Amino acid sequence: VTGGLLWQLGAVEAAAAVRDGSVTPVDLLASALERIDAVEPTLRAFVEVDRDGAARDAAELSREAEAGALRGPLHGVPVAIKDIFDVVGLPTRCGSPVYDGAPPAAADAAVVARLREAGALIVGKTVTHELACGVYSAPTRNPWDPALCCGGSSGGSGAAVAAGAVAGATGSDTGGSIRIPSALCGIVGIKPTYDLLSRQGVAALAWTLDTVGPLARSVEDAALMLEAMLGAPARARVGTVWPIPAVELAGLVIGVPADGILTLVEPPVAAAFDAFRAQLERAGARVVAVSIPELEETLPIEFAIVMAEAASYHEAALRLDDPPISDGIRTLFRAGAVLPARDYLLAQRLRAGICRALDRCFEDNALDALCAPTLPLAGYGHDDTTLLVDGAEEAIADGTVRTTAPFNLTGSPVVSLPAGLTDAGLPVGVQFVGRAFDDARLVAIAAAYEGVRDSGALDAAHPIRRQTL
Amino acid sequence: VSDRPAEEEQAVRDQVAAIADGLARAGERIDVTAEEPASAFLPERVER
Repeated sequence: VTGGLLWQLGAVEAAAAVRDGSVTPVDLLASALERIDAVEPTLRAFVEVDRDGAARDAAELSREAEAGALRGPLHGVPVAIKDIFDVVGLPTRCGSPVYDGAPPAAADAAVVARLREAGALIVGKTVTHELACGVYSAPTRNPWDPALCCGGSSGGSGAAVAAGAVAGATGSDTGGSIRIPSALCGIVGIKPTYDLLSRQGVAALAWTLDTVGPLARSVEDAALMLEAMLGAPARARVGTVWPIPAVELAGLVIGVPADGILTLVEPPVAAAFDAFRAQLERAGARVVAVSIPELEETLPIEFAIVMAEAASYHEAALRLDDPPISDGIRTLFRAGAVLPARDYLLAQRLRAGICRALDRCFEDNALDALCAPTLPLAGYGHDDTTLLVDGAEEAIADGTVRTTAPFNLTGSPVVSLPAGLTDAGLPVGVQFVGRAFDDARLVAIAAAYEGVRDSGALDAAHPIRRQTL
Repeated sequence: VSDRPAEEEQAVRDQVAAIADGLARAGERIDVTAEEPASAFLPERVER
């Protein structure tokens, strides 16, 4: 990859190229902006491209690189930030008119500051679904097929990374909002253990569920981003995430769901998951079918917690005569404002029961990881509202969260990555779920799978390989 | 609340009722007798 195609470099490759002096951060930025100019009219993944700020930073990072003074492992790597994270000098708009006229942030969110300390070059802010509460992220389109949406709520981040506009991006995940766009856009998303990364300077949806994390093109790139986002105490707690420790799939015990909500998926997703499972077995992993009936109760628990906490967070906006919030979200939040305390507390107690059930499953089966399809479907349009599984219609807003939210309730670390393609040529995501604070080992297991994955067709079809979208 | 359009009021009531029903059903399948709210069972907090 040379010259005008530098945007095709992943985060690890781009950082290595800066380190060995073969490219400069100014070169990387120029190429990223060229790519953004080429794809953004179609994708609309960005709320704002900070050309001036990025140019200043790139010049400074280039001077430092030339002097051999690298800030850290992301020196000069172009990244984007979901527009619910504060970035100094830019407003945080959260995809909502509630934040119209928001002043420029006075400081970076904690994880944004850490990315900068590691040398990341912040190019701009990406589209979020309104108030980080939804799975469409209009107007952003999916780079695999612009007729489809990119998921949400971190949809702009997913589309920007998949298209090669940036090497990595931040996202947040309350019920699946990192993993959903990652799966639909054929990239990697990591939802770390709950509370491992600081949420300081990040707008909330639901405090006891919200988790921030990276989206990138490969497990290694996402791991590098995560490593940079960790504070020292968190790093001491989980160990080194990147460089990724070596793990062999042979001998690992991987759980797959035998029944229930994690298995209710459309046929193309089921076929891709079967192939994924067979690949794990060929690599020597012992795949065991597990059943966790408590997960069936996920949705009312998830929604009760989200609506009550979001109603509290957005209380001031909800008190306005005509809150500038879309109908569905406003109804959800207003319901949260009048949800009885006993129901909220029951939801949190039921959630504790689900945590216990997942722990038991890991314990009883000696699991190294649990794997499941990330989503029940491989793609949907902005106007689609339902999916069909086993003849039953389900709202996309429920169906997408059904497979991801169980692990928000449990606070488990999860890595979503593409496992293959449907016959229609869309990526299918699988998620690796680990025990709390086992993030480093989970990332290593996901990377080991990525290493044996039959990636030929996936790589060939990836939008990163296409000059135009 | 009373000056909100009636449809939205009904939607809010329906939403609350649906959640209460869902939680009640979940409570029949998950025994919470011994459970404290989840924050006590979530991964231990780290100084981030």
